[in-house]
Amino acid sequence: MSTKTVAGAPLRGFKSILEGKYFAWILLLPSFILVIAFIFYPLYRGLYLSFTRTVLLEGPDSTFIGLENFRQMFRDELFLLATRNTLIFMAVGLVTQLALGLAAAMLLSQKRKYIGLIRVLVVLPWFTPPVVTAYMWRFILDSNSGVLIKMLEGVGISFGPAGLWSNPELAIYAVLFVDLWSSYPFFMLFLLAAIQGIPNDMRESTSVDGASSWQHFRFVVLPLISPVIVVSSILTVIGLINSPTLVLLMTNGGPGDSTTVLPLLAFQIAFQSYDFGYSSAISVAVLAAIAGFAMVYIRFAKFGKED
Amino acid sequence: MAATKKKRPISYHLVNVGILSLGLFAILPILWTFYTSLRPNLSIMRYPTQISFSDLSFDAYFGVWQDTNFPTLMKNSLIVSTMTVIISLALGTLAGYALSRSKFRGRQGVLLVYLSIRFIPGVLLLIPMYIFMMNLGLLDSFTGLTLAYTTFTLPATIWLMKGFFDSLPPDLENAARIDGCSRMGAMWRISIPLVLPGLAATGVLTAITAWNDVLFALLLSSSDRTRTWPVGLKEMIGEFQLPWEALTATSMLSMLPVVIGFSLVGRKMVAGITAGSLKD
Repeated sequence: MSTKTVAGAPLRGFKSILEGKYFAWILLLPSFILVIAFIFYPLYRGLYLSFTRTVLLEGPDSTFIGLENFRQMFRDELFLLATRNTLIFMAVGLVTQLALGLAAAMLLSQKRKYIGLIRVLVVLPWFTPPVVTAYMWRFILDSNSGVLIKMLEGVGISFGPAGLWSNPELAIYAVLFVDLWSSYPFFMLFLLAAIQGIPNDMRESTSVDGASSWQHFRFVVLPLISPVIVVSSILTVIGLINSPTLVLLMTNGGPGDSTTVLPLLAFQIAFQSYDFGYSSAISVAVLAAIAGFAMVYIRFAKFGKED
Repeated sequence: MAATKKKRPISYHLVNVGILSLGLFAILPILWTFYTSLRPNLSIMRYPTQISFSDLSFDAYFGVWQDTNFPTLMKNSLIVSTMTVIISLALGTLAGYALSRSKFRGRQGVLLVYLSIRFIPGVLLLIPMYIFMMNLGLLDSFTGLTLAYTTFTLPATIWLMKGFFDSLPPDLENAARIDGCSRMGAMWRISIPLVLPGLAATGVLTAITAWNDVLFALLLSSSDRTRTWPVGLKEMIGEFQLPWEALTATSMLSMLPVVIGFSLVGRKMVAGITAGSLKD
């Protein structure tokens, strides 16, 4: 009998904690532990590593060297080239995804019988595994047998004897095209949701006032969805510079270093020359750029004003 | 007005053409890849490309399934994806529920932290995570890979689940509470059954993220024992100069689970992603 009270008391205590004001914190605790252990601790270590000399081949030890890695960065021509490539990648990627995403969202917000099916199909590329996306497009754009290359040659567009992938001027745009195919649906989804949030009778009243479709778009739709455009633009930029996956799989930086972007450079320095310190410094530079965007994002998203 | 409605204007047809082009742009590359996987290698390389449907076969699929270790690679991916889904959903549902239902001090801060995780470049986490896993002895293990995936699926899971819980009316739970149900009981018996479709959509999204990943798998799974399919496929292509039919067949095989999951809960998934991100 006595064991029952002993066992029951802490259980009752636990239950009352669970019911009390700490309810939310208890539910949050498991995810906190995981996020702190596997995101914030590694993040802190990554920041620390960027101020050290840590080359895994020389042993596991880190020596604190202050800002030396960052100084080295600005003397490193490959870093400067990668920065230039990253800026092209970001700018061209953002503009093309915005243009296609906006056009697609306008088209897919129309009422048609078959529109539901098309909306799902259009999003499929976004869920396609990057490995499949990369090799599929390498195949379709292959200079010897690629069906799209042959079709373009048929209408007089040729990429020269070396082909698209060996041309240092063109390779980055080829990767950008593939990135557009796989990433713009994300942009489109956000804009589509925003456009569908605009009441239908808005168009009816503007057409009564004699506004053309273009005027309706320019003066009614565009101002209403502009906050969403800003938010999704920033998320797209983050997507473009956060992960080197597609570049890694399609060109691995080549030909030459013409498609080396900053995240890829960081990846290569870390896992080909095992210079963890310098690689972390480059990642920190990427993070700093993203943090700038993040501030704008939170400002425009009016974060937490819902209640 | 009446006249334009009877006879549809040119713009109506132009919009149709535009919509169909978008659909074709998305699906044609995938269909072409599928078609290629059914063709014998000789006719793939022949130029000019001749479209024929006479000599199609699933031989490449049988070849990949029997002669390579691709089934093992897919099994490894399946194990890791399943583990990731279980952990993400368990932790993400609890946290999402807390953030949706309790108005506690520090809630905005927690939401902000989970949102800001999106901005951390994956590359910056790769190195310290590699070192951390090495120190924990979790390199080249399913557990290590699962933990790595969970870190970037968990914040998204929390956001999505919070959104799905937000869209439930709180009255049902309040009624259950008045009838003597505990808070945990109200969550478990009332709210979770109601968000099951959302839970399924979030689970599939998490599974696809883990299934598709290359970067973390490249680092954290180094031996045949744990290697996932994207890394395996990358290495097969590098080592053996995989013929196109085999390459396309493996691509299609690995995409099959994604397409199945997507066709089951794709709409709910898309709705969750857009709703959650627009509201806040």
